Amino acid sequence: MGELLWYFPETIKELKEIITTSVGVVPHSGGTGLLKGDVRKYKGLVDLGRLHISNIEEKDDFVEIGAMATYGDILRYFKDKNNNALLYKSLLNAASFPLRNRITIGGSVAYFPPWTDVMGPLFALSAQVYLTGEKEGWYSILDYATNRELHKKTVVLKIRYKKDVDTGRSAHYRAKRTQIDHPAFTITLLLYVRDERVHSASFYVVGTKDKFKRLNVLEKQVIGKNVKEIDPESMSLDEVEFYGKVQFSPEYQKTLFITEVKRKLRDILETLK
Amino acid sequence: MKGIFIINSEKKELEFEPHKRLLDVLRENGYTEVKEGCREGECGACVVLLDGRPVNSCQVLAASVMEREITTSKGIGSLHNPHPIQEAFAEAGAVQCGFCTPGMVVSTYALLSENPTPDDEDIKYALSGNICRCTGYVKIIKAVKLASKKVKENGK
Repeated sequence: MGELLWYFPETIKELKEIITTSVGVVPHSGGTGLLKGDVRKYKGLVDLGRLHISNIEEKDDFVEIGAMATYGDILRYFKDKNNNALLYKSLLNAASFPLRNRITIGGSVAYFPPWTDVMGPLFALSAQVYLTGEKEGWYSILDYATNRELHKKTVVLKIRYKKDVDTGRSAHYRAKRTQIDHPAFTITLLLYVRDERVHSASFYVVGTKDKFKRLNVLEKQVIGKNVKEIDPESMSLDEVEFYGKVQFSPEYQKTLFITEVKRKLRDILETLK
Repeated sequence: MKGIFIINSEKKELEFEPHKRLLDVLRENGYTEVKEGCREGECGACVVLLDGRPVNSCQVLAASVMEREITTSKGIGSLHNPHPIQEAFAEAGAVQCGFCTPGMVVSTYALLSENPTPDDEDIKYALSGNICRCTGYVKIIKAVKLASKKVKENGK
């Protein structure tokens, strides 16, 4: 292993040049994910800390979050503004208190570890990511998560979602053993009700064999229904497979998933009745 | 590589290997009050303030925090000039083996800076990243409440 090189770009232009011309370099935002392995395996790390991209703001119809915003920054932003925001609810117990001051949203999106608490909510909110590098512009988070081509020589600069998307009823579940445990998987439910009827729903599970899955079967059973007529217990669920993790076996995760997805849906419906 | 760090309000130029974690760089340079526990960001023994916010120094690459402000428990108060938080931990009997205490003190300092009168739930939430294997937390919560009172009285 050669000596690890650090790059400290201070402008997006400098960042773009480093990312597109250097071989074997990796962006460093919070670094907690990179530290799961030996960072000396990389030729270089590009520190994003001097780019001033941690701002969170409402811009036009969107909530826009800079890639270097930490989970702690996001929680502080929403605390007084909207503690019903899906991201607020989902990050409130993510990782541990001091780790939340280090893990960044951009790092979580780019690295997408199976235990992340942020991807389910961002999928449900139909978020978009802004990339710079060999690709430039806004991309849907679903495209970014599934298309490796979008990761090559690019860096996530910001994330946004439409403000009005976050006005639905939501719930987030973490399958964990203890409070500070990495979740084995997460479930995110977001649904919209008009005149007592569900007019749209967005349900995701993250941490499955395929990394994540949209729960289309379940969504179809609630859309168009009167909330008083929905009985989560009688609903059939999407086939979801898990791989064995240090926390739980695949079979246990499956059982937990079935129980908790129905429980969370029932919790949301209770608030509507 | 070399880098400037502002540690406990003092500018320090330190030499370190590019892959080193802040925890190691601090300890190798005499800041042994920052304890090494799990190295995975789970125990909180290595918590320091980074620009006023608590972080696990084992989860921070030192190079990424050059020129930033780092505060350890000794930057909050020393043996001969303890901070009311440190006094409160001793007085409440919240220190047994003492290994987790520097991290607890740092997290408590961050909590009281934002919320000078926390209730039990606030304290549990703010210290959720600090694990103690001796005390069972009852006396730690008592210590934080005592610290809150002392800080209010002393105006620190």
